[in-house]
Amino acid sequence: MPMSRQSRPAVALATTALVLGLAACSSGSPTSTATTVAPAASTAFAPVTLDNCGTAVKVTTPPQHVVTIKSTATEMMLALGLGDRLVGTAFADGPVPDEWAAAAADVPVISPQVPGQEALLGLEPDFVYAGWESNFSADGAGDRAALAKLGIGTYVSPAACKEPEYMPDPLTFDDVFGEVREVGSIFGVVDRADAVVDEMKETLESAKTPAEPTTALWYSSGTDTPYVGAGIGSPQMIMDAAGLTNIFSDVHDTWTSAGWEKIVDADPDVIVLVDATWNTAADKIALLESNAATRQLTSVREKRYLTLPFAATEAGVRNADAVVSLDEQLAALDQ
Amino acid sequence: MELTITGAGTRLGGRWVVDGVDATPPQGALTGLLGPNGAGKTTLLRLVAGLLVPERGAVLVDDSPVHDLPRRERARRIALVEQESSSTVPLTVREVVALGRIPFRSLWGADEDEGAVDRALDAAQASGLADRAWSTLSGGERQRVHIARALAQQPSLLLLDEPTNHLDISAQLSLLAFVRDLRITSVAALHDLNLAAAFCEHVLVLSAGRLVAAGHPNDVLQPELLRDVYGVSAEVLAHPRTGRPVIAFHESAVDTAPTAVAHDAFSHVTATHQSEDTR
Amino acid sequence: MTGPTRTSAPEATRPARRGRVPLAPVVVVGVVVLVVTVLVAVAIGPAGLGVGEVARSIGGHLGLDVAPVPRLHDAIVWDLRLPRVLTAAAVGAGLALSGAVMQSLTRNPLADPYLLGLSSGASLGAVAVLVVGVSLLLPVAAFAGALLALLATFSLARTGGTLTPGRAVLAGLAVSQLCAAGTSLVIFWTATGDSYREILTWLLGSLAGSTWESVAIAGTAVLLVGGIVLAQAVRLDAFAFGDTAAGALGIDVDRTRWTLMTLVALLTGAMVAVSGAIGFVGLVLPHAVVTLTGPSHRRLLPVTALAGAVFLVWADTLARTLFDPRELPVGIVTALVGVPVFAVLLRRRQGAAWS
Repeated sequence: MPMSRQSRPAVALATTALVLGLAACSSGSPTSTATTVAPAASTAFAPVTLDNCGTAVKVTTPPQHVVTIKSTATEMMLALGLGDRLVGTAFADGPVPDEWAAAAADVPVISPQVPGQEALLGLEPDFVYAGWESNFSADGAGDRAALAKLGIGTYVSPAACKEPEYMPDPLTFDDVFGEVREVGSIFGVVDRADAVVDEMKETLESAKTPAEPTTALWYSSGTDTPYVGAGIGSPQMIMDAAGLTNIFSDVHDTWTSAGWEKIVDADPDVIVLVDATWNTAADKIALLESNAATRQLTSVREKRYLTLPFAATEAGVRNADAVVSLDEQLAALDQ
Repeated sequence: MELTITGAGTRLGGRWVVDGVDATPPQGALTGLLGPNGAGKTTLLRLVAGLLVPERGAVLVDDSPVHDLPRRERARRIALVEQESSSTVPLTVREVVALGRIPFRSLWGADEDEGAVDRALDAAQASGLADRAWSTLSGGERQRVHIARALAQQPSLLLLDEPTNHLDISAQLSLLAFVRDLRITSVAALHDLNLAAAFCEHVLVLSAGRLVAAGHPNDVLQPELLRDVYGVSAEVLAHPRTGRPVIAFHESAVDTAPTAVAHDAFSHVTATHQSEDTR
Repeated sequence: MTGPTRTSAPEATRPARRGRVPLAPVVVVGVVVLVVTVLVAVAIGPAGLGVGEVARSIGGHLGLDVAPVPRLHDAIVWDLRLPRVLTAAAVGAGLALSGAVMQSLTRNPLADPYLLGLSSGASLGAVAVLVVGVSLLLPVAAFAGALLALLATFSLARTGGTLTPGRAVLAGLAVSQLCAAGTSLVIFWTATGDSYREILTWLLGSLAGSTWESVAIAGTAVLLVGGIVLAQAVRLDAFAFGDTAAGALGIDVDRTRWTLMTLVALLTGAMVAVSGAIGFVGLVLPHAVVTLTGPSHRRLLPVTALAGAVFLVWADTLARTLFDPRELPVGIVTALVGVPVFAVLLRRRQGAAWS
C-alpha cells in the first residue's frame, strides 16, 4: 500500500550549540561552536503519560535501549544527545548529517526498510520511536499494543498521525517544537529539548525571506503525475517560513498528486526539488527538461532550482535549517 | 458430386475410431449412417467433411482427396450440420444463415449473390423466422435454420449429424422428407432406425468403427443385424403403403451384448449403389 | 417442410430488437463524434484557457495565420493536452478492438484484452523498471514484458500445435497470476519512498505522461494492427458456432486463432506500454456496441473502436478535471463508469444471449 507522507511536528534540533551543518547540497558550512553531546546524564525525570496518536504512552523510567525508524526519529534522538541510548535504527531516508555522524556510527542499522518484528525484538529494546504511524503494523515493527504487552514502549512522531483529531491541520513549527519537548520529557532531557527549540527558533529568525513575492512548486516525486507539496503539511510549513508562496497552498492535503497542466499554467518562480536516493534532484531536473511542456517553464529555462534532502523535509529537527537553506539558495540564484 | 470412401480410418486418443470403411453413397440421394453410440458416425462425417485427415485410406470427392481441396472450395461443396450447435452470440436468423455464405465472401465481406440467403431461407421454409433472434427459437426451428445455413453454402454434398434429435415427430418426418427431396448427395447419421428405413435410399451400418453392412434398407435392416449390432431383438415388417421395413422391437433386450462384428459377416447384403430401390 | 408450427410464446415472434442500421452512416457519425470529442476535450482542463486561445494554439501549429498565444498556454495545449487526448483516443480504440476480438475468439463474453497474461507481464516489466529508476525505458520494458507473458501463455496452451480457447484462457490465467506475484515481490522487496505511488498509478493505468511519441506509437499500432484485424472480420463471424462449424465453413481455425491472438497481443502490448493497464474498456465496450450494430464483425469492430476512442477521451477528461487540481489515474474512472454500465447491460440481456 502506498504510504502518503505525513507531516510531523517539527522535531527540535538538538544541541545547544549552533551546529547547523546541513546535509543539503547547498553550502551551509557547519559552524560548530562548542557543542559536545553531553553524556546521558538525565536532568530531573518525571514520569510521563501522553496521548500519542490515540495510544496512551506511559513512561515511568527513561528508556535506555531505543530503536528508531525513519531519519526524523533518529535525528531527533541524536539532536537531543541521546545517541548512546540507540540500539538500532531503520529506514533511513538519507545519510545522517555530519555533526552527528560520529555518534551514529556505532549504532547498528537493522534494515534499510521497515524492520521485521523479530529483528527488532532481537535487539531487546525497551522503546521504539517511529517516524510514520504505518511503521507499527503487524508485518512491520509490530502492533503498538502487542509491543506494549512485551514491555516495549512506542512513540510515533505526532506530525504523522493520520486520525483526524490528531493530524495537525495545518502543520506548524509549534507542532514540531511540541514534539521535541515531548521526546525530551520522555527521556528526561527537558533542558536540552528547550535548548534545541530555542536554537531552531533562532535559526528561523535568521532566515532572510525574499523581498518580492516568490511563487514555488514543491516537487517531491513522480514523473507523469507529479507528487507535490500541498497546503497543510511540512512542505507548506517550510515554504511559509521561507517566505515562498506555494502554488498548491489551496489544496487541503499534506502532499497531493497534481497535473503538469496546472503547474505550467502557474509558472512558478522557483522549483523546490526534494533530493532522495530513489528519486534524485538530478532525475527531476532531467525530467523537467525533457518534457515538452515543462521545459518551457521559466524556472526550468533559467534553472531556478532549490534543493533539499528528503530527510530534512519531513517534520523533524532539520526543518529550520531547511528554511534557511531555501532562502540562501534563492539569494544565490538572484545574484 | 461423387463421394467415395476407401478404407478410411483414423485414431483418436490411440483408438481406431473409424477403422477401414469403404463406401460409395449414391449420388443425389439420402444415405443413412447408422450404428450405436460410439460406433464412429460423427468421426466418419468429419472425415468426409475434410475436417479430419484419415490416417489410413482416403475420402475422395470427384476422385480427388477431400482434404487436398482448398478450404474455401471445400466449404462451397460440402456442408455439415452438427449434432449440437449452440452459440452465445446474439445473432438473428438471417445472420446465422448468412454464415453459410462465408466461403463465398471476399475479404471485405462482399457477397456477389445477394439473394442466396433469402433463397436458402425459402428452401428450408424458414423465411418466416428471418428476423427472429436465434436465442428465441425452439429446437425444431433451430434445426431448420441450420439446414438453411447449410443450403446457403450451395453444397453438392450435405452431411447431417443426428438432425432429428430435438424434434418432435412431425418435424422429424418433414425434415427427412425435405432432405431426401433436395436431391443433393446427403449422408445423415441417424439414431432412429425406422426413420432411416423410411427415408434413406441407402444405409451404412457402423459398429465399433467398422462398416458391417451397406445397401438398401430393405436388404440391410434385418433382425440378425439388429441383434448383432444393436443388441435388440425385433421383427421386421413391411410398411403397408411403401413397402419399406418397419421395425417392431421386442420388449426385452437380447442376452448377448452387441459384438464387434467381423467385416465380412454381412457381405451378402453389401450392395453397390446401383441396386434398384423399386419395391 | 410443412406441418403446423408448434407455437412458441408470443413474444418470441417479435422481430429481434436490434435495428440493422447500415454501416457507412454509423461509421461516419462515429468519426464525426470522435473529432468533436477530441476538440472539446482539448478545450477543457485545469488551466482556464478560453476556447479561442485553444483554437489559435492549434491553428498556429498547423500553419494557419493566427494571433500568437502566450508561450506557456501554447505548451499546455500543444504539448500536454492534445497529445494526451489523441493518445486516449488511440488507446481506447485499440483496447476496445482487442476486447471484441478476444471475446469472439474465446467465445467468452467476459474476455478482455488482458486475458493472455498481457497486462500482468507488462506490469512486471514496468514495475521492475520503475523500481530500478530508469523510467525512460518504461514503454520498452512494458512491451517486452507483455510479449514474454504471451509467449509463456502460448507455450502453456499448446497441445500439439492447436490452440483451443479453453486452454488459452486457463494458460493466460496462470501466467497472469505468476506475473502478478512477481510484481508484488518486486514492489515489496525494493520499493522505497514514493515509488509506491508511481507504481500504483501505472498499475491502474494513466494517460498523464502522454507525449507526441505516445500518439505515434499508439496511433500507428491501432491503425496498422487494427486494419489487419478488420480484414479478418468475416473469419471471426465463422466462430459463432464453434470450431467445427468454423472449419466446415472453410476457415483455417488454428491459424486464424494464432494469428488473431498474436495481433491482439501486439496491439494490447503497445497500448499497455503507452498508458498502463487501463481496465474495463476492452471488456465493456464490445457489449455496449453490439446492441447497436449486431454481432457481424464487419460492423462491430470499426464501431467498437470508435466507441472505445470516444469513451476513453471522456474518461480521461474526467480523470484530470474532476478533482482539480488533483489527478486521478484514468483506470479508476473507467472502472467506476464501466462497472455500472456492465451491470445495466447484463440486466438488459439477461437470459437470451448468455444462457
